[in-house]
Amino acid sequence: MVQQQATSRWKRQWPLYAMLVPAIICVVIYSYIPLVGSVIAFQDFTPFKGWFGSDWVGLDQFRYAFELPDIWKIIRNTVVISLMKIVAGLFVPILFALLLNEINKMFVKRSIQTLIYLPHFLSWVILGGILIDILSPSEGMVNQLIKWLGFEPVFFLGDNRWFPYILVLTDTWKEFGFSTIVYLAALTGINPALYEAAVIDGAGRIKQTWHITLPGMIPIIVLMATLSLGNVLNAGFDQVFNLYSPQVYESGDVLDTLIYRVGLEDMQYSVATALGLVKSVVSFAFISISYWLAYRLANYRIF
Amino acid sequence: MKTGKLTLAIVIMLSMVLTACGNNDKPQEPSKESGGNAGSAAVSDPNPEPFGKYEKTVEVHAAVASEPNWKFPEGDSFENNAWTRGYEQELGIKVVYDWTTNEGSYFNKMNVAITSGDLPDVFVVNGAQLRLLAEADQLADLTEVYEKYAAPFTKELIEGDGGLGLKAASHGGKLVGLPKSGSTIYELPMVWLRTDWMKKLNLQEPKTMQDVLAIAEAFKNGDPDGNGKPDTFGLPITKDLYGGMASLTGFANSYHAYPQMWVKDKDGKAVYGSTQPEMKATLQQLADMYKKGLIDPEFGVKDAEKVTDDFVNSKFGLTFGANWNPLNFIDLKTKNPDSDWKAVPIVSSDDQTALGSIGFPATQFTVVRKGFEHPEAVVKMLNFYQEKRYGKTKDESVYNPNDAKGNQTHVYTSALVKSDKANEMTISDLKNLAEAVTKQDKSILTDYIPEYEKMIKFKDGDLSGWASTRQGGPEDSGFSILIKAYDSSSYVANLFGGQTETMSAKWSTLDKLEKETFTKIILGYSDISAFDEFVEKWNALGGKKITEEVNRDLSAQQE
Repeated sequence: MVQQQATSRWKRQWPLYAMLVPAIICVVIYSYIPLVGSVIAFQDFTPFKGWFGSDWVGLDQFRYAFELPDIWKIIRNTVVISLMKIVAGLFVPILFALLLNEINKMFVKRSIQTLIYLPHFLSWVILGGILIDILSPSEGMVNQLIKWLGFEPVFFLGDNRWFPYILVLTDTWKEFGFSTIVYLAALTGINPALYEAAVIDGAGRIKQTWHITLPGMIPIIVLMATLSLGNVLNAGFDQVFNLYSPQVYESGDVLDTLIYRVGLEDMQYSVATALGLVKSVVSFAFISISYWLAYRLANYRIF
Repeated sequence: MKTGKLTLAIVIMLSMVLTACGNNDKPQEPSKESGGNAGSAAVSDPNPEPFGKYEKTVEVHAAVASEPNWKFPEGDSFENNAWTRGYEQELGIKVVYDWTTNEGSYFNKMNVAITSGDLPDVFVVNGAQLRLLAEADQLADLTEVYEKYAAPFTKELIEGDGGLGLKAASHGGKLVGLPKSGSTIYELPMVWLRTDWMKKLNLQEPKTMQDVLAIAEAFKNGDPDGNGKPDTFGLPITKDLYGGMASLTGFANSYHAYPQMWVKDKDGKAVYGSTQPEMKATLQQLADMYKKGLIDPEFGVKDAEKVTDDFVNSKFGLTFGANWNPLNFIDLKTKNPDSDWKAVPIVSSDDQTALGSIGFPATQFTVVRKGFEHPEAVVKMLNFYQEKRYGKTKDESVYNPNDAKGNQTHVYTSALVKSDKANEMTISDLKNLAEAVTKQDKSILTDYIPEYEKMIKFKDGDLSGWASTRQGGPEDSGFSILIKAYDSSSYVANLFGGQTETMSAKWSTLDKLEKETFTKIILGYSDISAFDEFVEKWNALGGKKITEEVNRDLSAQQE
């Protein structure tokens, strides 16, 4: 009986599974097979000896990596910058989605939605050049305004006190449009009857938001938070690489830029892989923990 | 965002996958041919002809750097131009470019190709890659094919640097690459001055470094552009600190400091210039200038391109840079025809003559993958290049043509295998150029025909020849400074152009440390005592070991 049910379900649903196949193949080729290459983190790897011909050195590469000058400063920068990005990247879109949700004119809502989504499509190479101009202390728009208001101009990209915040601010500005759309989608899923009932009970806008909208969004908020926690060691290579300069290495050099220099400039593949592996393991741990938390706290399950 | 997490690691790992595939079939390849031994066909050729054409067209897969903004005559491209056609028609060699990218990312991309084991037949590498590939025995031995196939004229040009280039291209007594030699004297730094500003503020040509500093101050405070606003600066620097535009190198040379290169100390040992006490004095001076507002506070984020914009917007009238700087001032000349520049030699801060730093003759090499059947093809292509560019049968209209508008194209620099004249020959060409322009006699020229024509145009009042005249004219030009410096030996060459073991592992760390420290000292973020800490750190982080290795390699070369 059970057997039969399963078979008929399979018959009905196999096209859906078939649609998964290309994605699974891609994940296997681009994510799982390369994992085998992680072995070079435990070797003194030279390309011509290959994976299995290179000498095994145990944890030496890890030891070397953690003795690199400034490594702890770099890890600190990475964690600080990415945590700020995670927090900002979570709350700014929620706020924006709530505000947009209050707009009744469809045209206005759609236009704003598109406008805030646009920067997502620009690459950091282009934005880097633009931001250097906009934020310039002598001629940049932002500082013109600051000077007009009677304050001293600020060298945003050259000052260690400001640089990390500029990274967070610009990254949030570039990416929050995407998350906003996700939250807006979640909002449409809330049963309108709940709002009608609340209005009858005398709830105003704020109370409706607090008691209906937000609880309705909780699952998706938890999901987004869970996914973003995996980024805790990911401060965003493209952005940092295009905006930093020697004077802000102190506050802006992150693991990814270090891996780039070690791996692609110095050809120390083993050390770069060791660092990459550390990043992946830590991210994996964070994702596992946050998934467990999401399950315990919000009864949310992905699978 | 999600995938970004592992991107780099994946790129590297993915290339490992390819390595595995590459390696699985690679070892068999040489063994298949080991009976015939790669290249033996050439070596056994009883009658090697430097310009001999293959009966059956040989296909060569290649990789080399090219810039996306290079221009070609109508219908031509980097992949299909006078050189590729010449190779095919005259030598029977068909060049297929597997890939090409701009110089800035070429060597990083080559690193990936090396790691993936996916090497073309003929390609260009830097010193580190040459060493890596040679140690792994991945390169064809060119000793014999060079001996047999290089034309006498080729040998004359290549060995014009006293054999330094060939030495740098050798590994374990074997020639494993052809040096891409060139005239290092081109890199000599000089002072460029805006003459219309000098005249306006009644300033004299600098004789000492103190004069230069006085000019910088006058350009900052004297409102040289006459717009009533204090919007000019004394001295430009880029965020990279060194290079051909707005560089610190010439400034440091005035204090007898030689950053970013290997020089001999008093005891004859090689030392790294950036860590010497003279550099401290240089930085102290720069920090003082910064405090006085002579240096753009934003220099730390500006690359050469952005600083060029500043020149065009009349922010600077004094700079240390290479002989070709006027080519970047063309937009300024168009915008403001009254503006003008001239070159003067770098001057000294004391009674000793200031010497300008120049590079090591060969830092790039054309190499052949081991197992490629026709290693001699690369020598033939080099013969072909030098003959067509510099030899008796040279034809500029084919190999250095202008486009329909009369502007020079980049055909001349698009050959696969290149090696250019060494200093001695270049200087004599430059002298001939100056004489030809003075006498308006084209027959004196031994090279530089397009430059000559532009200068003659300028003499007739055509502004489009302005930059060439400032670069190459008989007086006050970049080239005239090169000639003077070369004749009076007022230059210091980098002693070492190779790569040592520790260098390849640590250099980017040390370079980052240097630029970060120097930038902070100039900006006043750090006290000048940070320099001593930097030297200590630099030595501890591998610099000391690298210095030992460099000295070891240099003394080995002398034996």
